[in-house]
Amino acid sequence: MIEFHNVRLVFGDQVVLDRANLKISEGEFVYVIGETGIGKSSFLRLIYMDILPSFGRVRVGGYDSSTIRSYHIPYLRRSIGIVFQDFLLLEDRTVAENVAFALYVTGAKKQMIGPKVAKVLAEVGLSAKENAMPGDLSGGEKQRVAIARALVNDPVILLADEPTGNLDPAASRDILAIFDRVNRRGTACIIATHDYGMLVQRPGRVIKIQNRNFYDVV
Amino acid sequence: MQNGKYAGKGTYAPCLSLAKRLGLGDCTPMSFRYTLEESLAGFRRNRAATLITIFTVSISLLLLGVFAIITLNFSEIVEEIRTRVEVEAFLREELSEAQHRETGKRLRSIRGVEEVTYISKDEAARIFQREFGEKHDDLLEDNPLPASYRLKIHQGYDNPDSIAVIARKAESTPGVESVVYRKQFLNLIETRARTFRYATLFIGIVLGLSAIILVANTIRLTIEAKRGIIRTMKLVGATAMFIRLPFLIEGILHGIIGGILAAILLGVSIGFFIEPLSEDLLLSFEIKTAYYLVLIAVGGLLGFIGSMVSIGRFLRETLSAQT
Repeated sequence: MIEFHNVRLVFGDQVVLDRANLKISEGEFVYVIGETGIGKSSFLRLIYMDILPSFGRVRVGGYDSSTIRSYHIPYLRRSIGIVFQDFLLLEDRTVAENVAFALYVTGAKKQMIGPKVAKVLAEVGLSAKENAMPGDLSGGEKQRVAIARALVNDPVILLADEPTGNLDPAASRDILAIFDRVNRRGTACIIATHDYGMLVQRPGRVIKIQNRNFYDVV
Repeated sequence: MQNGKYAGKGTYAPCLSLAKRLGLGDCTPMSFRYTLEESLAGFRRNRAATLITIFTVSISLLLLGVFAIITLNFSEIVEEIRTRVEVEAFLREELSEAQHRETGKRLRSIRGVEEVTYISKDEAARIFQREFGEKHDDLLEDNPLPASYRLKIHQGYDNPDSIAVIARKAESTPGVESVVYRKQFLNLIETRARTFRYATLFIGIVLGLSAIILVANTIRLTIEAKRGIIRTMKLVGATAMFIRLPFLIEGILHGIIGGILAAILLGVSIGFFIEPLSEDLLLSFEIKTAYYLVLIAVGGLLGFIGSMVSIGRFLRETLSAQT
């Protein structure tokens, strides 16, 4: 499903990845670990093609970084849910509106939006907060809204960049439980983290980025 | 994993339809409403900047319109002068009637000559009297004025170079004594017309560019205010066209409103100040409705270019650069 072939990624004079190879299969639960600044976020960005490799290729489903055109990328991203440490919610819209936004801007039909938003909010345990504004929510709740927004388009892959970085241990456990449920439905989850407690709570494949390459940690 | 699971509803990306490639594949009534609402929201959010932009665009367009009218009128005057330019070929004294006719035939056959008019010695005397108020026999016993042919120049040949060639050919025609035309005057008109055209073109470009920069800056303010929304849109897979459209419409509206204001100001200025003077200035300031429509369309075009410049730069940025 996701393949990195001899990927070299360079920012200025800094080489982040060099001849890196990796395969991630459908429905896998993957942690990406490594020191701060080693390239975990860049790895995720390569998957949702915010950046393209300097050399080599990244394949995500039928999309290939070496042949992809800019007008293909939005359609790739509709298959990928993306969650960040700092939530990136629209502060002037309610919880339901934030989630509906992802459907709204991708041309979903009006009659589909309400039921889909209600379903995904129930899934992350936020049905009671659908009319709340992001400013009135706790960190854990904000992250659950962000996850709901990432899930509302039924993604094949869920990417999370330090999703528990700003959360207390209880909220982190809740978020991990949601990822677990999503993964059981067949969605691949790829989580970049330095919170090794997660690895113990919910075991999965662990990939370490080191020396500009990927290593499976057994 | 099958490609069918990827968005595009079962279509594998490289097979995207043209509508999808252009980002128009998501045009539902909902997204259309969103686009319109967002375009108009830009007006509310940056009210002061919007008003200043519309006002300045209208002033730029007004000046552009005035320059265009002056240029058009000037070109008409130059054209009129050119059509009036005639080459006069004076004939030798000793020519017989038959030789006159033969010379006239030869002059008419010169390329670029539309028609020739014969001015006999008597006719020349009458013209002399009409123009100078005196009869030639008050000054001299015999009529010293020569017969001549007036050559009317064809429209395509009414430039100084072609006229000079025609004059040379006429001068070498048997039976022609000398040829006269207003060479220096014609050259002067041509030089002035060229300078004027370049000057108005330069001023037009400067005014047009300043209007584009103004619109681009106002749209950039709107974009800055909506950075978070645009980032989220890119994140969840909104197409570039879907993101771009509200800003394009906003820019085009700035230009069109500026154009309408400029058209009104231009119409009022001409009606009140210039038309009463048009007879004195020997200029006609009759402006067709199409001219005003062109002015408004130019406003819309400038607004479109301005917003394309701003949003294009923003869309090319990566998501992380927009945090």
